[in-house]
Amino acid sequence: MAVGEVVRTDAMTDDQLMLEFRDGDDGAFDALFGRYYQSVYRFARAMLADGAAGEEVLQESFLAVARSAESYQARGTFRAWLMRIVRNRCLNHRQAMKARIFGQERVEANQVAAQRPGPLLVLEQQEELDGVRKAIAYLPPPQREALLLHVMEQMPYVEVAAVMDIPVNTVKTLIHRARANLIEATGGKDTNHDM
Amino acid sequence: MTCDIRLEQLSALLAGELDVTQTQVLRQHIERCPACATLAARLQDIDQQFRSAVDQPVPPEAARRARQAMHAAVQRQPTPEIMTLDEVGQCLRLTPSQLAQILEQLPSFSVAGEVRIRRDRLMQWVKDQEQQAFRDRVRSQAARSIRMAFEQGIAS
Repeated sequence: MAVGEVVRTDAMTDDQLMLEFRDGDDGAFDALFGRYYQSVYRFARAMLADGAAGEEVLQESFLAVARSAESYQARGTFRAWLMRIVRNRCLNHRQAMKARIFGQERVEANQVAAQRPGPLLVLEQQEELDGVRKAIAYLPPPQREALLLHVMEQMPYVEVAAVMDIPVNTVKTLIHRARANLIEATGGKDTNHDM
Repeated sequence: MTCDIRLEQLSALLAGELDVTQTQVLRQHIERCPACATLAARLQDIDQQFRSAVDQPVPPEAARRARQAMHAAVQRQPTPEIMTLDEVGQCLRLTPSQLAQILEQLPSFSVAGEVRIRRDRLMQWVKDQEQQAFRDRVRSQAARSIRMAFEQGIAS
């Protein structure tokens, strides 16, 4: 891609890039990929606790974006739409992972599978986890998702709500509970205090 | 004395979800309340720890593989001459259930138990639908004009 083209795509909105791609400019799709591949991988890897699965979701998600270009509606919500695709792919992978893990004959996998939150710990235990990572692994998935989208991807509550297809007030509650759980799990005191 | 400020309010402050007045009031309170100041700091700290724990960059090889897969996927492929029902649905912007309702009208054929449609036949069918819709509109307008003329004739 020529320098002039890089400058041009950097100045374009996500919607503009999608429309350019729809009209035949493959470089526009490459620019969108460059803009979001880190966020997609980071979210998928954190959701699935597995780098290989994160890479699969990365490819699947952008393939889905490419296939949807013809019918894409430019409404200024590309990021939320993309992350919704990623989230759905993660949910599919999680279901498949649960089925694989519960079918395994490894004793340690069966023992871990009996614990909460369940299958994700099998993957997490392959790394040395510090207190925060363990606490994150124990967060209920909706809390983890909401916190990932809000803290890592810096999405406002309303955008998180659009990705997760839940009311904004539910997002507030999920994020508040996620933070409270992490604080308590990492040795924090009671989060409601008296003076 | 009880501080009624709860974690949820501090969480909203950190998220930038409070209005200007609420933000100002809460910030002033934090300056006077050591417990809330500690909690606010703990919130920021836990967010930072969260970021550090989950911020996993894409391995360079994984990024390269993904880019290659994307480039291969977006290469403009020749339009398939024979279409599946999924492709027909996408082409006509119809959901599977909507497509099922008009399936009998489509110029389809079956091969190995699967329904397929030739692209040129589908496009001809679309053109026929457009022409039929146009004729229907013309007939409808003509009928309306005749009725109005008849009613005006009776009236006079």
